[in-house]
Amino acid sequence: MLKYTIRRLLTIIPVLWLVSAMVFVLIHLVPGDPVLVILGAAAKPEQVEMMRQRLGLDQPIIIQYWDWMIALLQGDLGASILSDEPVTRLILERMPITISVAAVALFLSLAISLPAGIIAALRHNTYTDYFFMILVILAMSIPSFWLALLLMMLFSFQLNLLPVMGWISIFDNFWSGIQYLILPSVSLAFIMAAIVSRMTRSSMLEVLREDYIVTALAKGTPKRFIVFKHALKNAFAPVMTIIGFQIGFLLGGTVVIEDVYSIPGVGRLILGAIANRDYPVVQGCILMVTSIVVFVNAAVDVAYAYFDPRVSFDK
Amino acid sequence: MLIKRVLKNKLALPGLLVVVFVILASLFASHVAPFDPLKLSLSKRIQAPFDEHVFGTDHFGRDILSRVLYGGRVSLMVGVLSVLFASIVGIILGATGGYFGGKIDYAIVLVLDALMSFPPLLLTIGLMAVMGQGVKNIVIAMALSSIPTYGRVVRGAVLSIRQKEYIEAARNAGSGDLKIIFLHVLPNTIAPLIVVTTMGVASAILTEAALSFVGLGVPGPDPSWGNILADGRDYISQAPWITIFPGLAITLTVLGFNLLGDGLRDVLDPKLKQ
Repeated sequence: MLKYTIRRLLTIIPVLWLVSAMVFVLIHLVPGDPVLVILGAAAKPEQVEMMRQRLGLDQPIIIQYWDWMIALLQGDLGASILSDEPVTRLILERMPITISVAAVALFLSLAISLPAGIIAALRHNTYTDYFFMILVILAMSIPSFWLALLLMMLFSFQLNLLPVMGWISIFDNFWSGIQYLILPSVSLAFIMAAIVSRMTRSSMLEVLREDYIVTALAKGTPKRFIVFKHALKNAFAPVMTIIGFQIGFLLGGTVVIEDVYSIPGVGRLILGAIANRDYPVVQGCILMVTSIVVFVNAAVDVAYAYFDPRVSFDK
Repeated sequence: MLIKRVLKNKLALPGLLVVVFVILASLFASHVAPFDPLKLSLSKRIQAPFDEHVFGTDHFGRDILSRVLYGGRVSLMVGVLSVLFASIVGIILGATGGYFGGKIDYAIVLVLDALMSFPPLLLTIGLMAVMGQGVKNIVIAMALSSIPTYGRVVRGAVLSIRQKEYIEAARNAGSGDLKIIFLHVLPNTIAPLIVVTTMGVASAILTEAALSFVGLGVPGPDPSWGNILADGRDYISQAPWITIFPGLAITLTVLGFNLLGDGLRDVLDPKLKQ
């Protein structure tokens, strides 16, 4: 187990390196001269030259990459072109907001999907199960930001129950904070709940067919006991992988949801930076969020090995 | 035989019907649409639906129904093309890695893993930020971000086939690698590929909508489902129909592709049926 954990964590290194290289390449994909794109065609030659030096673009590409990499290893993502503030600080200021929205969405979706999936599996091939499957496939087809707009129409404009947009941290004012959290996290939770509950259902169904479950049933062990004690632990491992896999989608979806509700998180930061052609900020946001996904997935794999000890690298 | 089974499947058939309906409606938009989707008419600004204009009009007096019909062309085309390109690259990478194994495979898996670590929407947004708006760029950006999905599916299928005896037999009979890959290996990856590409179109349509909604997708005035939604944003309390109808079109289309994909999985791979 320890050996597996260490080896899995080591695989993060090449992936993170490649991710950072791809993000570095991204800014060099700007067609034409990125400095002219940033400053506009009317820029004076001195300005262009200054910006070029500031971004290090006057150096050969290998040197640029080396400098960028060394800075990155020290946690330095460069400075915003717009405000001159360090990109790392800009992101760290906003990250808690994004994470809190995503975390509440994750919690909500699990609270709905795990019980729903288990119930559907236990009632396999009944109308409850069919109804559940239809609901799941419908929920997977609704764009989350459109759902966010519909929820806003209903709860904010029609019923006047919840704020239209904006943000108050729950650490500043708990109850107002909750009100601002509800709609964004519900709209994000929807798709994820659908995907996770579907996986829970099929994973449970598979486990319930296993010989040891059938044996336990034949011995007269109470079904409730079997479901919660034996089946759930084994069914949970594949479900967890799906959850890990969905974290990326969740964080990606948050970008658009933050835009809908004007939530000052990383999503709004990146969209604002794109509008201002503030490429260091764009690079930094993508790199930071992706690194989170890489670490979460590694953690999920390690946890998987705990739930399913058969997992190893040698297979 | 296969078609018969698709038609008998409880998921695939409704999915297929919806998809065919949406494709026909967008294809024949110029015949079906009651108005010109681009025609401005300030006297008809923000008219409620179910009157002269079935889906109402937007802030420029443009007919929403016509815009949704024409928008379907762009949204479907972008969805299908991006999946097509992504799956072609995915097949090449996945087949190469899975078939040859070793260092090539390690390198390919590493690239796929790295690409897959990016939240897909975030990577697409980043690519659009540097490449700029435009239909061609959306197709490229969305294709790039979804390569790993197809690469992994194909690689997995190839890995399981590579060990089979008939592949060994073909090799002993003197077939070259390329011949084996094209004649014996790839045909066996078609079933899982059909399923993931069908569902891939669904998620590509969702991505296009999100991109255009935040202003990084299809530029106006030509309609796409996403940019009609973006238009509706500022009028959401005044004219909710601008937001409601394109969203319904997206949901219906994505639902169709999802149902079709699910049904096809049942039909093509009875082992996976649960």
